[in-house]
This record gives sequence, structure tokens and C-alpha cells, in this order.
Amino acid sequence: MSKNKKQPAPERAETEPTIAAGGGSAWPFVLLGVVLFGCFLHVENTGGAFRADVFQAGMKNSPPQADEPPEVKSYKRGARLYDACAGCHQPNGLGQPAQNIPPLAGSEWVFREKPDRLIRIILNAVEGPITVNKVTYDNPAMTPFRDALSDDVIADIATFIRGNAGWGNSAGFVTPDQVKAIRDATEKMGTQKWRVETLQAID
Amino acid sequence: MTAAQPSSQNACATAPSVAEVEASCRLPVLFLAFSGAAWLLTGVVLALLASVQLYNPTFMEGCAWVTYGRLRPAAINALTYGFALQSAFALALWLIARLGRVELSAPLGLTIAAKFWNIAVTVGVFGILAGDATGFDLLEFPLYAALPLFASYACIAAWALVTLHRRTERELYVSLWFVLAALLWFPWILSTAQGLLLVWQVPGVVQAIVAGWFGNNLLQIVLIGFALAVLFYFVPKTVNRPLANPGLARAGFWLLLLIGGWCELAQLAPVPAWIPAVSGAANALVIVPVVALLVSLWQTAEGKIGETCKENATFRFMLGAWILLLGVTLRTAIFGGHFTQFTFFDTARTDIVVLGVFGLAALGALHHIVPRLTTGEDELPSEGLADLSFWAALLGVIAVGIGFTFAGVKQAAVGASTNDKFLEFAVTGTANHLKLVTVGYGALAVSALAFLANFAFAARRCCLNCCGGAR
Amino acid sequence: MRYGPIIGAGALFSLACSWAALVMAPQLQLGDLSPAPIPNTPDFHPAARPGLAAQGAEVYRSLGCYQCHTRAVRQDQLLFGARLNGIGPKAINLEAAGSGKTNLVNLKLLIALAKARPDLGLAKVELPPTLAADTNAVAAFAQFTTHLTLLKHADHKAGIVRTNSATVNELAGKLPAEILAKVGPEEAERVVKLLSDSGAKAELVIYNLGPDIARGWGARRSVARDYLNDAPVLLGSVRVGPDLASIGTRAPEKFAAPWKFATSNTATELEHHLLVHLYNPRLLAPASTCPSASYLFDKVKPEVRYAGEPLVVAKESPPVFPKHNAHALVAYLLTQRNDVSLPEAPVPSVAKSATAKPAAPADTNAPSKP
Repeated sequence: MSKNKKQPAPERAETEPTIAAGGGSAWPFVLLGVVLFGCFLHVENTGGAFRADVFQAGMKNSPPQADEPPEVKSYKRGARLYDACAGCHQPNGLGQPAQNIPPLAGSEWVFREKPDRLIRIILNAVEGPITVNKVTYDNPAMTPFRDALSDDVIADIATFIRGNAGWGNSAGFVTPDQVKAIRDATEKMGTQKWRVETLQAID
Repeated sequence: MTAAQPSSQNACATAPSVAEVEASCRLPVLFLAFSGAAWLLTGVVLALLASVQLYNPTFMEGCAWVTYGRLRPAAINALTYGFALQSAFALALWLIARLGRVELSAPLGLTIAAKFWNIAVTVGVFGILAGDATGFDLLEFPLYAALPLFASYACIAAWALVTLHRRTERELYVSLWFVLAALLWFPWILSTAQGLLLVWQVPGVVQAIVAGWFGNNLLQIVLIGFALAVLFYFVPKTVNRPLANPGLARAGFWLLLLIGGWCELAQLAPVPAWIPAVSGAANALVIVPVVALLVSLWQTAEGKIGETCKENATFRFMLGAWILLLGVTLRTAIFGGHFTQFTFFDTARTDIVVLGVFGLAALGALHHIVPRLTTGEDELPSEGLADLSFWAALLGVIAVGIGFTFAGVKQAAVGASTNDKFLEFAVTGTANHLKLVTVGYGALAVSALAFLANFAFAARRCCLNCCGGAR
Repeated sequence: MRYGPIIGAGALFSLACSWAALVMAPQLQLGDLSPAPIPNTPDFHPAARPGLAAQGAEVYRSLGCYQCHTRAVRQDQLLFGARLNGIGPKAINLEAAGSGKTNLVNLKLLIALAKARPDLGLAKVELPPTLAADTNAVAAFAQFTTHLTLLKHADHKAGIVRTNSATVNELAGKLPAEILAKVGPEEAERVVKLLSDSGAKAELVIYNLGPDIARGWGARRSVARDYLNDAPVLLGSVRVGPDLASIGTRAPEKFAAPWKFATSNTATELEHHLLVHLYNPRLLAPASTCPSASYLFDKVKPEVRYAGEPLVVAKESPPVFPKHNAHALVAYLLTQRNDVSLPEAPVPSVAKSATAKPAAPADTNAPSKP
């Protein structure tokens, strides 16, 4: 370096820039951390939860539809509520034949024209041998949901189970009023479970 | 890296002398530098003609070839590919040869590849004027120009990397980090963009995202990277001090690479909300590496800035680029969101980066390189022309930047309210700002002419020296 | 740093990160979008462009119209509301049969409304003595009293003080009634469900808010699905001129230089307007800075078989003949619409039925020449 000082300007062009000793500062990383925190907040607030169908900054779910019929909304709610049933009947609705848990997909008990039997089963459960798709299941594990679930919830779940095209079911939707009617009519049963013969006798 | 080591101590015994290194650079670098400057003049004139049409629509009316919608992309692409990238190659080759203390590999091959690059850019500009533009910002060259462009780039970059590999000075100086990163970055983004937009076209709005990603990477990493390489070479060299605080430079380099590629997609509207959100965050984050790098340069020159400015033309250019880089980064981070979307504000970024940050750095470097490669001296043939070139370029870029920025802010204010009449305020109301832009392009054309004149004088002196045998 | 490969690998890694996030992820998210059915019609949006409009897209790209015009509507806010359309079949008549008056009241709805609007009071409803014999009315009324007590209890717990100057009874008196306006989606959906469960007819109202929409440049924000049939996608980045995302369905008074339809043949008029704009924009808007595309027109009748109708540009000047490209560009512009409700960007249902479309794309898309 001492050589450079003595030389006049033109000599500079012959030498290359060098690097000083030491260096290294922490402040860029501290600053980065601070800005990064702000950035996380910004993305959290305006990033639409990284969803492909959220275009509006500030929203986190796809917008609800104005012209969606109530049964479609009920079906969508039911899809979320079905999680409670999926433990036994499985998310694919096929049940667990090995554990004697009957399927809901393609079950003649589910997609009857009238939803009454399905509502009755959800309200009070069923015990004893039951034949679904020519296979007989016998499992006393199902619990009555009369006290656990409201009319709305039962209607939503029944709508989802009956109308789930992915399972091959395409029966009509269920309204809370239908559930309420059956709940009131079977008030006396309490938490007593149905027998298959009794169910078939009613309807 | 932690100890101060004069590079000459690391050099191998077989290292070529500076004169030998420069002799190998002469042909390709001078060719690239000259054609780059010529494209600067061409592009700026095209941009000037286009900008007149923004407030005087009857100017050159009635001919499809020179309508605004074709002139403007032709100008921007001529400036980006003709001037900016071409000068970047000249600077990259020169930096690799000088800092690596190695003779350039295949100088003739490089010159031929550069000629093909020029042919491809010419074809591309005429393609745009003829109506074959692809429609994607900064990527408007039609496929028949884009493919030769890629091929000649592959040759230039390959020989540049071979030269780098054969360097005798093993320690890589900061400038070479940026050069290496930019040389590897460019083919990836160009092949991704050309492949996904022109060959196997992705569906729908993803095209706009890919094009925006390409444009940002080209500006933010490749061109700003080359500009930083030049700054990190010439600032320590002209103030005659070692680079202060290299740790800051290293942190800035890696953070710029990690963050820089994510910016500027906040300008897209019909995309899922996370894309503008993430990109807007990156716009703010990128301040950190840019400031770190600029602080490192500042500490190097601190105390000698005024003095060096007076005596060294190159340093003046570097100072201009330094200021504009800080300015363009802050401006995008602070005002670059929803408010200025769809206005000239964003147009200004391309102009400031290509002509300002990169343009000033490249012109400054070329003012140093050209006399060395022609006459072998450090003195420019005409200091007056160098001064003219500097002031015209600086004022030109500032005029373009301010004109577009203020026009953009005015448009944004109209766009954000429903009461203002669009035609009255946003269209005719910006005419005065846009006239400033025209003046700016005019000044830039003067700057390019002054540099070319200096170039011609240097070349003439070189010829006289050789032929007259006066040396 | 001595080793070039390390720097190179680091650079490529950084690039790969941004590539994965901003090229690959959007492609994975948006790559398999498909046109959505337009509600209550057999059509899909975006519709495939017929031949002439597809050629017009090429003209639009070739002339660089996208350098000055964007094709993307922005939106500041997407808000929702609840509208009450009918009080429903569960209403009971509080006037005695044969009195000649009707006073239909849905007692459950009153409770639901009170829950939806804690700022409004609930006027007293009394069972007239003449209805005391009607068992249905008495039962419903008993239930109402119970719910009212529960509501008051809940109000007290939540610290809600209701005014008596404005009541929900008045709100429900005149239908359709905006129960909630410009609130978030959860709040609006909750109220719509509350009202629907009480037997009333309620619907969700959508508010697309922002300067672009107020300016009449579109019914909603543009979303990715709108560009499925575009190649290349020309969004544009500067609004030197007005946005064109909905130029095909824009009302004439919403143009930068407003005009009016003179006849009922609005599709033809809009087409004519756009052709004149292409020929010389300053004939329609003297302040316009849009360059004229007069090279798309012949001054004399050309010697081709289907020269088309001459275009009368101004009363004093002779008519000109649009070339094929001019017709194609206008056909392309007429396909621009964004008034279709999409799952990710709904439009208000009222606007859909009430606004007359000046030019239905289906009519104008078809090649006008044999």
C-alpha cells in the first residue's frame, strides 16, 4: 500500500482494489429482523392465507355466494361437522367392516327418499344386527346424539351424508324442521336405542 | 477475507501483466462498449419520440410502425438488451480479466458472439416495430430474436466463466461475486420466461406473474448486480483505499440475492392476494441489503468524496449511481404499493434502474476502460466531453425519473378518487410532467453522444499512435 | 471467498427459492383453473373467443394497445350485507279474521332482527283480545314472550342498551329492507342464517367497493379466471387511458368522454363508437391523447369482395372503410366483460338483473361478415 501513496494517479489503474481488515456488522441482521416482523404482519393481514381463491386483500376465505341456496350452505356446514362422525364411519363414508361399523356411502338406510329413518338413527342410534348392502353388521357402539347435537347440526350432517356425490349418494336435503318434528315425536324414548325391526315397522 | 492482503501477493508467478490482460480484452470489450453506447443513443432517441406522443398524439400519427404502443417497447428493449446487458457483458469481461489477472479466453469468439447479440437485438427491435412484440414487459422481443439472443448469451457467459475459472488471482473480490451471480442468474430467468411464455405457454394470469418475475429479476439482480460490481470495483480504486467493512458487503450480497428476486409483483392486480402481499414485503425487505452494500461503499469513500469527485470523472458517475440506487429502492418500498399501481410511477423504475443506476455506473466505468484499452493511458481524450456526458446523463435520468414519478403520483391521486374526471386530470393533466421526461431523454441522448465522441477521439488517437508510430 | 462454485451454488439456491415461490407455486395454484358457469345460463365465463375476436386480440397485441390501457379492474373492499325480502309464511295475522285488516307479523323474525341489530329497539307487540281464542296465535305468542325475556337477559349481560326511537318493527315494515350493510362476510352470513331460520326470506348482499367500480369500469375486481382464454395475457401496467376490462359491457355514460345511445340498437352503436375511436379518438374526446389508428382504415372503397359498410366518422368528412383488422380489434374489445359472478369474485345479484347490457357479447362476437 505504501507504494501506492508515492505513485501519482496513473499508477492507480495498474492496481486492483483491496479489502480492509475486520468488518462484519450486526446491524443489517437486526434491521432485517425488525423489517421481517413487519413483513409477517403485512402478509398475515393482507395475504389471503395463501389461498388461490382469495384475491381481496384482508379476506382469509373465499367470499360467500349471494345466490347459494340454503341447502348448499347446509351441505357445506355439514361437510365440516361430519368430522365428528368420520372417526367411526371414516372420511370416505365406507365405515369399517372389520370393526362392524356399517358404511354410509351407498347405504340404503341413508339415501331413502324420506330422511326420517336417518334422522331417527342419528337422534337415538341403533343397536342389534343391521343389514346394509346385504352385509350384516352388529355393533352397539353408536351413541344417541339427541342431547349432544341441535336440530340445525343434525340437519346439516344428514344433508351432507345424503347428498355426498363423492360417495355416490344423491338423496335430497334435510331441514331442521324435519329433525325437530321427529325429535318432538320421539321425546319419550329418551336415550333408548332403536332396534332395526322397530325402525322398519315405523317407516 | 478477514485479513488485509494486497492482491498482488496472492497472484501466481505465471500471472500475466496488466498490459497483456488488457490487450486480450481490447477487441471484445471495446466492441461491446461501443455497440452498447450506440444502442443507448438509439434507445434513448426512440424513447424520446415515444414520450412526445404521450402529450402530442398527432406527432408521427398515421403509421403503425411508430405508434406509441410499438415505439415504447422497442425503446425499452433496445435500452435493456442493446445498451444495458451489452455494456454489462463488457464490464463483466473486463472485471473478470482484471480482477482475476487472466487473459480473456477466446477474445475473437466473444466478439463474434457479441456481433450475433447485436444482430439479434436489431432484429428484435425491428420485430417490435413491425408488430411482432410478445406483449410481456421487458421481454417483448419475438421468439425469432429471443432464441439467437439466448444462444449468443450462452457463448459469452461460457467464455466468461472459463476465463474466471482460469484466473491466476484465486481470491474472488466482491465485484466478482456480483458478476458471477448475475451471469448465472440471467440464463435461468431468461430460459424460464421464454420457455413458459413463448414456447410452452402457461395458462392465464400465470403468464403475467412469470413476466413480472422475469422483469424484476432482470432489473433487481442482474442489472443492479452488475452496477454494484462496478461500484465495488471503482469506488475503492478511485479513492485509493481498501474496501471498508467487507463483512457488510458479504451480508448485503447474500441478502440481496435471497430477497431481490421476490420484489415488484405488487404491481399485479388480478392475482391471489398473497402474491402482492409477499412481493410488497420483499420490496421493503430489500432495503436492508441495499443499504448494507451502500454503507460499505460509503465507509470506503468517507472523507474523500468531495476531493475525488473533483479530480476523477469515473467517481462522479459512481456517486450518481450510488444515490440513484438508494433512491429507487426507497421509492419502490415506500410508495410502490396499491396507490401507485397502474401509473407511470412503476414505469419510472425501469428507466431509473436501466439508465440511472446501471447506466451511470456503466458509463462511468466505460469512461475509465475505453482510454485504457485504446490509448493505454488513464487520461480521457477530452475531460470536457466526459463532464458533459456525466452532467447530461445525471440530469437526464433525474428528469425522466421525476417526470414519470410525479406524473404517476398525479395519476394515482386521480385513480384513488371517483370524483376527478379521468380524461381531464389523469391524461391531459400529466402533460407537463411528461414534457420533462422528453427533456430528460434528450439530455441522455446528449450524454450518449458525448461519450461516443470521446470514444471516437480515443480510437483516433489509438490509430494515430499505431500507424504514426508516435508511441 | 475463494471458491467460485460456492458463490454460484448459493446464487442458484437463492434463485431457486424465488422461482419456486413466484413461478412454480402460482402455476400449481392457478394452472388448472377452468371457465366457470354463468349462474342461470348455459354459458361459461370466460367464453371462448370466436375467430374475429381472436384475430382482434392479435391486433391489440401487435399495436401495443396494452402499453396505455390496462385490462384489470381493482377493488378496495369486498363487503357484505343482509337484505330482508319477505317476512315468510310463518307470519301470523294479529288482526282478527273478518276485521278487514291485515297485520302480518313474524314473531320469530322480530327476535332474529333484534339479535341482528343490537342498536335498534323492539316495539311492543300485543295479542289483540279478539285473537285470544286462536290457539296457534296464543302458542306463538307465548313462545315470543319467552324469547323476548331471554333476549333481554342476553342484552343485559352484554351491556346492550337499545334505543326506542328506531325499532326493528319499522325496519321490517317496508320490504325489501337492508338489515345490515357493508360488514364482513361472517357477520352477514350469520344474520342471513338467523333471518332465514325464522322463516323469513333473506339474502346476502354483496358490495364491491373501490374507485374503479364506482367509475363504472367494471362490476367487480378482475381475477385470474377472467384471463383463461388469453394468449398472451395483456394486463397492461399503466393507465394512460381508461381500463378496458369491461369495455364490451360498459354503459356509454361511463366512458372517459361520456356519450349516449341514440337508438335502441346499442350493440351496433357501441361498435360504431369504437371504430370511430380507432379512426380518430379526438373526434369523440377532443382532449384524448390516444394515437389514431387511421392505418386500419381505407379512404376509398377497397377492391375486395367484402369491403363492408363505410364508416361515417363525421358529418362533413367523407366516410372511410374499416379494414378487416379494425373490425377484428373492435370485436375483441366487445368481448371484454367482467360482470359475471365468479366463486372468488361475486357481483351483486341486483346489478345483474337491473342493468341492461348495452352489448351482449354473444351477439357481437360472431363474425359480422359471411
